[in-house]
Amino acid sequence: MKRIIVMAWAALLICLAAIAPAQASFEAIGPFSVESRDNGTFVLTDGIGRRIHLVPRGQKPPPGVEEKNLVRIPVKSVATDSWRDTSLFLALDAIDKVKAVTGKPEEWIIPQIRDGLHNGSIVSLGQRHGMDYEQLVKIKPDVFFTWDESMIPMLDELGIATVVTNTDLARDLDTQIRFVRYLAPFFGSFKQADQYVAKVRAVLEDIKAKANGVAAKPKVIWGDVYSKRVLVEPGNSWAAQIVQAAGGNYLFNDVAGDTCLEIALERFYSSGCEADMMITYRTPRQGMATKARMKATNITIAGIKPLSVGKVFYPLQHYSQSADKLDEILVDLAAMIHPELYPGFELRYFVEMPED
Amino acid sequence: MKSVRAIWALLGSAALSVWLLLGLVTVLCCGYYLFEVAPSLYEPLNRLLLWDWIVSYGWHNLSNTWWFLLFLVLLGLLVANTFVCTCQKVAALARHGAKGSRLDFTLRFSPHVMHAAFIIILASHLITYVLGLNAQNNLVLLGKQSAIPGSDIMVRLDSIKSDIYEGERLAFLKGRALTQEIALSLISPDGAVTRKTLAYNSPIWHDGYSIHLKNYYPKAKTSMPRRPYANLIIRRDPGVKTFFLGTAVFAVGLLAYLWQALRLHRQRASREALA
Amino acid sequence: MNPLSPWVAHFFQAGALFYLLAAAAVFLKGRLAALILLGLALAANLLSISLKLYLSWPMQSPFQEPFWLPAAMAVLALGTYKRGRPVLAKRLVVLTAVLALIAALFPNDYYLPFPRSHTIVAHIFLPMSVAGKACFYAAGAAALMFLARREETLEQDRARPLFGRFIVWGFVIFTLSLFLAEIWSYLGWASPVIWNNATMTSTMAVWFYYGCFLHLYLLRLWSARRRAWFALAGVPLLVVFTLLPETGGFKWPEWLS
Repeated sequence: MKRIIVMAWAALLICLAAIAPAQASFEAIGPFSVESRDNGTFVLTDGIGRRIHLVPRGQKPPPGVEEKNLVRIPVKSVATDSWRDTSLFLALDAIDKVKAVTGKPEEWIIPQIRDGLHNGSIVSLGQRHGMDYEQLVKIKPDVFFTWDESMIPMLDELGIATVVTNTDLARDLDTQIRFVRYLAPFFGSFKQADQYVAKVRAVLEDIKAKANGVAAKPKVIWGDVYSKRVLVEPGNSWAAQIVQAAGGNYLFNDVAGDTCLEIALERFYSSGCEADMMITYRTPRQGMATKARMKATNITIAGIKPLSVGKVFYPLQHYSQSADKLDEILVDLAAMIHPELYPGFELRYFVEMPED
Repeated sequence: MKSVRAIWALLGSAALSVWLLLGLVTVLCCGYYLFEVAPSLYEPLNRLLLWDWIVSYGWHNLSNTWWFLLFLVLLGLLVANTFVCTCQKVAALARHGAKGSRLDFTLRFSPHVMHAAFIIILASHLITYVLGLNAQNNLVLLGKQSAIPGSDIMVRLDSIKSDIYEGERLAFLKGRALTQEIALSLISPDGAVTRKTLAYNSPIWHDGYSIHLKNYYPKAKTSMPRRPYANLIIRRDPGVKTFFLGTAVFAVGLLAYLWQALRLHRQRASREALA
Repeated sequence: MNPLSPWVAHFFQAGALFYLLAAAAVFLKGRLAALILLGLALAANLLSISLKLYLSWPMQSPFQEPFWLPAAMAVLALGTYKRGRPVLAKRLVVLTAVLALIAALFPNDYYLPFPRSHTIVAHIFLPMSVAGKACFYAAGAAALMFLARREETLEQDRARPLFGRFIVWGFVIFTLSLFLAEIWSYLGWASPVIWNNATMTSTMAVWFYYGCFLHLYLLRLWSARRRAWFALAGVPLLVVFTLLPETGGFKWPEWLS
């Protein structure tokens, strides 16, 4: 009997040893992944589970890989419709690789992009839903970063590799911080990515340490109010996790699922009645300039506490183009939750919504 | 020869079944908490072949995924145990022949039918995870066509019709699609066109492939401007038929076992009443 | 928001209150009062789940099992009472009240019905899954009585204690519900098994656990007393791995807060 058991374990160990050298390096970053191979190539999984092969210039691509799933690295030209990703290129010192973006110059806050659009070194592809594909063909970027999966068929047809950087399931804080490591192989900016991650993590630890001794935990909700429905950031989102880390009590912590998840109005109302503070992505640019306006938009939830005695914060326009400053955004959020821990602090990315 | 016999005896032991089942329960309970901690490590199992998952997500996150590997080992042992045990018991039953009624004798096989079905189900699963084609995210724009992976068949998206809910009862759904009809044309290399309609929970089967609706757009009466499209999951799953066959056989075995249990219970009750 | 929506919770909370009163009546040995209160509780419970179904149909809201479970348990309690097992029926009433209280105070009822639940398979799966689990809970209660030597030893129980029969029924119904779930999963997500959340593992754990019990039961590997302990240990397993994942955060009923 003993011999049989020993033989079984030996067989198992041999199997495991056979696996061990199979992949030198593999990193899962939430739903994204980066597998680096010994020959300098990378295999990436994008936000919807597609596999993208990154192959050094001049090197033969692996057999069977279609052109649409192949990116030559380091990339020389990038097109994107994502503000968040573009701002991360700043952190990777790769903003000069951006050759085409969607949107008008005045919609861009990042100086390099705005100036590039003005002086013609960066091409505007128009609005995303009516993109100027002729311009895109002229540029023929090495890769297109998009949040919208519906772009894939057109870009496939044009022979442009597409990377979807959006995911259905809400990104958690760790993914939000490490996502830059997913973008790094495109540009070879590994050092910059590591520095970014280290910097944000240090700030996060500092926020946690500051919040550690605080007894009172302000109750926070993060959601968007529309005329017939409400969307919230679920407990598995980075938004919920930073609220908790900063010493807040996130009232939708028990809600799980996709980012900006629609929930029943009754639940939003009941948690809203307890909340001291609400954070929303609805801003004056979308017609939501005051608390009074928000109350009028959806009278069912007009009685929630942040809309009367509590506070409502919304992000400023440059927030969505500031992923490179994630550390500062986290500090802003921490200061909103516990202003007494950050005396004299001026918010840089959020602002309080006025009453009227 | 002696050790083969020893292995055969060990694998056929009923006590081994019990300990393996308890081992599986323990491992799965640990797995529950570990899964909760990092669900994104397991989600790729829905699109990757088992080996690809093991050498990537599994192997590189062993502090979280160890339970899954152990689960596979225990499941393998349980299959071996079930196989040997069933062979031994069925052989014994056949040797001793029918003692009671013919129905009684037949129903006595029901646990073994379930065991055989269990093996079929797991083997089918393994085939699916090892050999199948699982192409997620096949996006087709309205009026455009795209090739089915690994074949010369083209899929064209002809139309997207949504039944928009306009009632008051489902307030949250007002102005949004309750049902959908995604009309596809499947174009063979010889030009033959087959038209089929797809919806959530209503896949289509064509030439060995199954096509499932993953996502589509637009889904509401008023939506932001975007190109209409359908995102399809295309599968060629050699194990799925035997999987459902195994399931059906298991269900038959289960119901036969229940019937047998009820009959025996009733017989015993009437014997006791007479006594 | 449909004005009927708040009544789903109100009816369920009323049902939970009646379940609690029925349990209190059991302790005070008021058999008739307990029966009437249990009937009222079941009616309110059924009204709540019917209304919820009406407000979701043809779809289904997720995490509904905790609201269905007390109803299934109450039906079992009434059934056992009718079959001449009043002591077990009393234990089941108490267990039902506890389960209803958990569902009422930890509701997870704020997710909207989802499009892929628009299939008859989903609607058959839910009551079957609940019925299977209710049998497992009842088996736990019967096993507790067996261990405490308070079993109503009807003649037929001597050879095969009641908790074993509950588990046989539970296993059959639960397994068939899992097969339905596989069909639904294949139709909706293209695979009979989907690794989208941890309930996949906990469901398998429960199935293997009761599968293990059946082996012990059929092969008489353990004594009846050890098997009773095994059936009883299934209750915390069910609570931790099937009930708690379906519940939400603590919430007082609106009318109390």
